Amino acid sequence: MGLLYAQILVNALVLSLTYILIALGLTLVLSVMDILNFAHGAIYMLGAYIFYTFLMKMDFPYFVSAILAIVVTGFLGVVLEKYVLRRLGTAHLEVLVLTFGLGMVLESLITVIFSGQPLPVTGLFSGVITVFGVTLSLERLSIILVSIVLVGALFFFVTWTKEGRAMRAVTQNRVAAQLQGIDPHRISALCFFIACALAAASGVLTAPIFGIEPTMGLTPLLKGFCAMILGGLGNITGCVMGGFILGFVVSFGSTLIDPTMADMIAFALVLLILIFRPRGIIGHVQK
Amino acid sequence: MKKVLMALVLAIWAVFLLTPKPALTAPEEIRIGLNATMSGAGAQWGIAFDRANRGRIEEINKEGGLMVGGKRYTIKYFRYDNKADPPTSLENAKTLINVDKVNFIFHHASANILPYLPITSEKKIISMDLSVGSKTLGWPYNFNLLPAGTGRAEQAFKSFVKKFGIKKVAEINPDNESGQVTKAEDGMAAKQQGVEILTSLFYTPGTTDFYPILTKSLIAKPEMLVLGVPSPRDVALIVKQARELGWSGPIGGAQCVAPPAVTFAQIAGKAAEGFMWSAPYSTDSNFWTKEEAAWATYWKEHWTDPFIADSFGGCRQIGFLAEAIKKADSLDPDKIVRVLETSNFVILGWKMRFGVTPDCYQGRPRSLVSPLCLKTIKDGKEMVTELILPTGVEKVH
Repeated sequence: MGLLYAQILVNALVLSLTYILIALGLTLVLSVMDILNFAHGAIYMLGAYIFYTFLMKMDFPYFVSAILAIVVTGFLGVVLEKYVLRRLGTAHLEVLVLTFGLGMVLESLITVIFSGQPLPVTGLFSGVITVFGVTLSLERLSIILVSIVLVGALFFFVTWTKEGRAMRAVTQNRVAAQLQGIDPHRISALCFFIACALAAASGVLTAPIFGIEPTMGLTPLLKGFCAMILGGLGNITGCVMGGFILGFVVSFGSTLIDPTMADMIAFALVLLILIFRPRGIIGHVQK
Repeated sequence: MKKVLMALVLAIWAVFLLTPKPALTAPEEIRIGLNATMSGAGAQWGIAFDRANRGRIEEINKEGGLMVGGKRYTIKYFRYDNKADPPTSLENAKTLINVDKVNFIFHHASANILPYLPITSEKKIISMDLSVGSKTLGWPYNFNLLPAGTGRAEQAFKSFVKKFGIKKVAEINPDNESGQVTKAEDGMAAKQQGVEILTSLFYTPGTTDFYPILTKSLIAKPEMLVLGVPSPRDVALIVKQARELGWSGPIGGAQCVAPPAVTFAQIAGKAAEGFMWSAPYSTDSNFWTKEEAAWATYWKEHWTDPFIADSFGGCRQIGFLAEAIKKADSLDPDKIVRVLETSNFVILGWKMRFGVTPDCYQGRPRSLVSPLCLKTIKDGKEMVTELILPTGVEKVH
């Protein structure tokens, strides 16, 4: 029995970290720019396809393809922020609709270019390791390790670097930050770069395991939103916590109860949080 | 006087609006629509059917079209991606019927078809169906070209028992209409072969991480893992992840279709070896007719991705319809239906018919009585291990 729970725990860890990488990007954009980015799932998908193009079509080395995919997607995010989102300013509804439409456009574009067929992506690792009876593929181990590094790097950046402090200042009060000499547009661009890069990183990590297809961003987007709501909108620590809660509920629920019930339980949890604690588990009350 | 004139104009206009218009088709045009999944996990099917339909229709039109009642008709083809989403599929069907004014529809996946079968039946639009699941068979103008249902599952379980001597299995299905129907049909088929289904679990379509559902399936300690009707991409992922979790027992498909062997190997690697499943056609060229070989050559000349055997299904869709129209020498749906129900056909070099009597395992009304290949992956290639020919089905060429 212990072995079973250990296996479920490992499954949960992988699921959670996948959700967290997506949710972090969403949370960053929401906290700095006050935007709910419905195109985030499509950006995750775009990052995976750019990685596929470099790796499988242009025969670039694995790590070069991965880094290029992350950087290129990040810069595409900067272009999107500067030339599209910035023009709409604080028109929240319009931005919401725009990002939703952008997601659909990206999905259709990828379908036209690559077709709707799921495409396999060759991974760097193959094989499994078994530790005390618990099995984990090397690919999934790479998700765990890289995700932990990325989340740690983000925390470090936001907490200890000058740019990170500037980002927090803009989150707290955009006008006051501006008065302190911080350029909010530059911070928004940086934030969007990081968010898109994180989404692309998630796409790069999961592509060799699950393959890629144009609609692959929908489920992660939904789960990312749920993780964000659970933890607290705009709260990075809450986002990580929400991701873990969601991943554990889905993994334990799927194995011990029923796979389709697990999703229902997870969404029911999100509903309860929205009703009884809308700021999330560790979110703050907005004044 | 003015009022009378106004009333007359309005009355004439109302009559004009309410009178059914003749179809916008040019008198020498037959309109066929495809409503299929061309993106996502099930894209293999839709893309294969679409390419087959387009290729065959192009050939027919090059030869001058179809001769019906002394007139030449060219075929105009429309296609829509339903993204495996029933509401989208319904909207596509309405567009095909009301805007494109199609005479015939090709489609697949019962979950996506059932929402609009009442409409096509009412309008007498004949449809050629490549779906698993028996619920689409009740409709008078819908013809199913897959040897699906308990017949196919029965053959699959028979082969599993024969090869592995299994008594207990765990089954996995997507949580949709096809999955629900397959669970019931596989249950009956398994029982007939003395096999107990220990667990029959469903996953949400769109799932790519199957570790949780596989962990739950394997807890029950089955002797074999059976996949009911996941899409080809899901089959490859499930097989790969099952092996990663340490499952070393046999894995097989009851009514599902595997991706092309090359793609299967790219996704699942060596885990694909030994996977068994059944299908009405194969990429094993040893079992092809001359016509099937010619179509495979056409595919290789036109597309670079691996050949998909499901495209034979698309060839059959247009093949049966074209032949039935020729035999009926009419575009009257009821005449075409009578021909389809009562005639023998030679399509792609196979002599086949639609079941009307229960004298063979596939004898269900308007369901194709077709060859069935039992297949496996060996040394990275798809190999037919047994070819089952029901009564009346034979290889002509």
